[in-house]
Amino acid sequence: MIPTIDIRVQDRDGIPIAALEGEIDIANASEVRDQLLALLSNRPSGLIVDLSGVTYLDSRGVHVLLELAERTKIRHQQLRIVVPEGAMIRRILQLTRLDVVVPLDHTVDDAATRMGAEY
Amino acid sequence: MTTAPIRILVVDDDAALLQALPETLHLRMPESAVDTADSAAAALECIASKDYDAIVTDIKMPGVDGLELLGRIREVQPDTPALVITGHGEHDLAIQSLRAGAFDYVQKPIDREYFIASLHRAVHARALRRQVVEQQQALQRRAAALEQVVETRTEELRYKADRARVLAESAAAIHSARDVVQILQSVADAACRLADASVAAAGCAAREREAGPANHRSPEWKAAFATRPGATLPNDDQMARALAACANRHGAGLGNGHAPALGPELPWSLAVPMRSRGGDLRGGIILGRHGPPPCAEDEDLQLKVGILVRQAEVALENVLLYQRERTIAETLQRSLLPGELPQIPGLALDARYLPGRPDAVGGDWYDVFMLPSGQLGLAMGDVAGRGVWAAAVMGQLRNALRAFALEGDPPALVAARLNRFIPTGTMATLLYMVYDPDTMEARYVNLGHVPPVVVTPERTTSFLEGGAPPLGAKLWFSYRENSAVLTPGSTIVLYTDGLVETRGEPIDDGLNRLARAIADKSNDDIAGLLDHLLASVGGGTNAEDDIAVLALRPLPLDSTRLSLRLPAVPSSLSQLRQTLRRWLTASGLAADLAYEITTACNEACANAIEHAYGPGDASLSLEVSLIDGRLTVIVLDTGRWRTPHPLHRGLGLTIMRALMDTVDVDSGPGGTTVRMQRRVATTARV
Repeated sequence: MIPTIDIRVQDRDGIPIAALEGEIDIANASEVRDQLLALLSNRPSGLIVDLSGVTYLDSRGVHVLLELAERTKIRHQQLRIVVPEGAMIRRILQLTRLDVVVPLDHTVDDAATRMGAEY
Repeated sequence: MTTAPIRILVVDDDAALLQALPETLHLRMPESAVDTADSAAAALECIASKDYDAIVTDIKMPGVDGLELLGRIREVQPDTPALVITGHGEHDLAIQSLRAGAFDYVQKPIDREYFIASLHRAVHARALRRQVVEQQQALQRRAAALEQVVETRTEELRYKADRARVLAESAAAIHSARDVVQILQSVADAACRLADASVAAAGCAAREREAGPANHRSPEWKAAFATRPGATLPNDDQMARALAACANRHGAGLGNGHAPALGPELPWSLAVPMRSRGGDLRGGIILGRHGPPPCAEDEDLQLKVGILVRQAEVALENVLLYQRERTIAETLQRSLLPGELPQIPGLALDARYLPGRPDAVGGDWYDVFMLPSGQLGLAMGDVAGRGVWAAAVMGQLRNALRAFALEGDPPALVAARLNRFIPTGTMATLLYMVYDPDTMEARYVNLGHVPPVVVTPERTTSFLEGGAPPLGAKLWFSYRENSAVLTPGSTIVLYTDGLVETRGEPIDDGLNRLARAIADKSNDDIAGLLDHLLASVGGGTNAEDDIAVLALRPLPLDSTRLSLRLPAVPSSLSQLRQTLRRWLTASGLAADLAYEITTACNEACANAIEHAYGPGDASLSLEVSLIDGRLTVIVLDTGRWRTPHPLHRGLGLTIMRALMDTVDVDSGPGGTTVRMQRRVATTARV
C-alpha cells in the first residue's frame, strides 16, 4: 500500500502555503518533491510548508525538504517549515539537522508573520 | 398378323395318302408348309427338331401307331393340336384318340372340305392359345418388372428416410455439443453413418478467426475421428494431414477421385471444407470407404455431408463465441480477486475461491486491504447475474469500494456511496467489514448478504446480526453499522451464498450445516477450516455457483518475537510501520519509543528495498525480539548494501544510529544484514 499524502495549497499575501497531510516515505517522496518544487516555478518570494498533518516522515522526506531549502536559497526565496510542538516528526528533523538549515515554526501564523518580518 | 408359314406335319404309312394330302393342303391352304413322315419314328424326329402348328396322323400304322404317337406328341409339344385319321366306322378308335388328346378326327375316305376346315380350326386354336400364353407371359413379366420398381423405390425411400433421420439426429447432437471436440465428434459420427463410410475425420482450427492455412499441427487444431465396426482407421495424424491438405487445396466440396486418397484400402473418399462465418477456411471433414457407395449418388451424399458441415459451422461459431465471452469473464473475475492477502502479525487470515459450473461465470468477489488507519477492510459480495457483464459490475464495485474505503469512511457511509454508484438496474449483495487489529472490533454493514459466522474456541457459533437491502434495491437508504468484538482464538467466516445454497433446500438448512461444520473444525488452523468448509458444505465438485469464503482469526500475541517477510518494494513500508508500531505498543513500549524504533526499522528496510536485486520478486525479512528490555532488530535482504551516496548525506544511517544503541551493517555476497539493538523500558500489559 502506498501511503496517502494530500497536499493543499493556499495563498496568503502572495506566499504559497503547502499543507501536507499523511505520510511521506520512499514510496511517495519523489511525488511530493515534484509538487513542492512546482510551487516555486512562478517565483513567489517564499514558501511555507506546513507539516502539521504529516504523521510520518522518513529520510527520503527529509531529502525533499533539504533540496527545497537549496533551491529556495539559490533563488533568494524564503522557506519556512511548520511543525507543531511535540510532533513525532520533529525529532527526525532535529536528528537530520534540518532545523539548522530551515527555520521551523510551530504554526502557520507564526511562519507567515516571520516570513513577512524577515523579508 | 404373321407371314410365317403354317407348319404342318403329315404322318401316314400310306404313301398315296402321304402324297395326296400335302397336295390338297398346298392347294387349299397355300400359306402352309408341309412336312411328311411315313412312320411314327420319323414323325418323332421331325417333332424333336421343329415346332409345328398342327400335326395330322394316321391312327393305324405299323410299329408305333397313331394313338401312341399322340401320347408322345402330348409330351413333347403339348400345345400342338393333332388331327387323327381313322378308318371308316372306326368310331371307337376315334373316341380313344380324342380322349388321348387329339384335337379332332377325320374318317377315311377323307372329306377334304371337313379336313381343311378342321385343320384351320386346329391351327387357329393353336395360334389363339399361343397368343394367350404370350399375353400371360407378358403380363407376368410386366408384373415382375413393376414389383422390381416398387422394391427399388421402397429401398430408396427407406434409405432417404434413414439419411433424413441421421441428419435430424446429428443436428440435435451437434447443437447440444458444449465444446469444439464434441461438435467435431458428432459430425464425424453422423457423416460416417450418413455416407455409410468406413472412417471419418473432422478437424478445424478452434479459434474465432482463422488466419492463414489450416494446419493440423497448430495448437488450435482440434480433430475427431469415427470408424465403422471392423473398419481400420489410417492413423489419426495421416487423416488430419489429408484433411488439412484438402481443406487448403480446394474451396468447394469434393467427391470421389478429387478428395485426397486415404490409402489403397479406402478407394472411395469424400471431403467437404468447413468455413468460419467470415468465409475463412477453418477445417473440414473427410470420409473414406472400403467400397463404393451403396445406394445414393455421390452428389446426393456430398449435399448431405455438406448440410452436416453447415450445421457444424454454426455450432462452432456459437461455441467459440461463448468460449471467448467465458474467457473474458473468467479473466476479469480472476484479475479482480486479491492475489496475496495482507500479512498482519497476530492475525490469521485466509480465503478460498471456487469457480462454479464451467458454463457460467458468476459475480462473486471478495477483497481484503489495509486501510490508512491500520485497520483491515474486508469485502465480500455477489453481483446478480452471470457472465462478462456481472464480472464487469463486480470490478466496478470492487474499485469503488476500495476508493471509498481508503478515504477512511465508516462502513455505513461506504455502503451508502456504493448504493449511489451501482449501475441502474443492477443488484448486488455486499458485506463490508472494517476490522481493527488493536481492539479486535469488527464494524460491518450487511447489504442482503448471507450473515457471517463467528465461532469461539469453545465451539459456540453465532451469526452476525443486522441486515439491509442489497445494493441497487433502494435509491436512497440510510445504512446502519453493526459491530462485534472478537476474542483471541475466535474465528469470523465470511462467504457467498454458493457455499450454503442447495437447490430445493431451505437456506436455513444450509446455514445450519455451515454452522455445524465450522464448529467441528473451530480449532483447526484457518486454512484447514476453509478446506473443510468447501469439501463438506460447498457440495464439493457439484457446486453450481461460485463460492468465495474467507476466515479471520485474531491470534494471541507473542510479545517477545515478531517476524515479518515482505516484498522488497516501496509500497511494503507503510504496512510494515503500522504492523511494527502496533506490535511494539502491544508489547508495552511507550508511543514515542515505538515511533523511534519504527523509524529506525523503516530506514533499514528502505535501504534494503532501494538496493535489493532484481525487479519485483526480491523480499526482505524483519525479525524483532524483545527479551528482558533488550530490543533486537534484524533486517535481512537479498541485495547489497550500498555505500551511502554523497548527495544522500547518509541520512538513513544517521537516523538509525541516532535512534538505536548499536547499528551493525554486514554486507555479504548473498545480501545484507542490518542488526540494531536498543534497551527499552516496557510497561507490563494485562
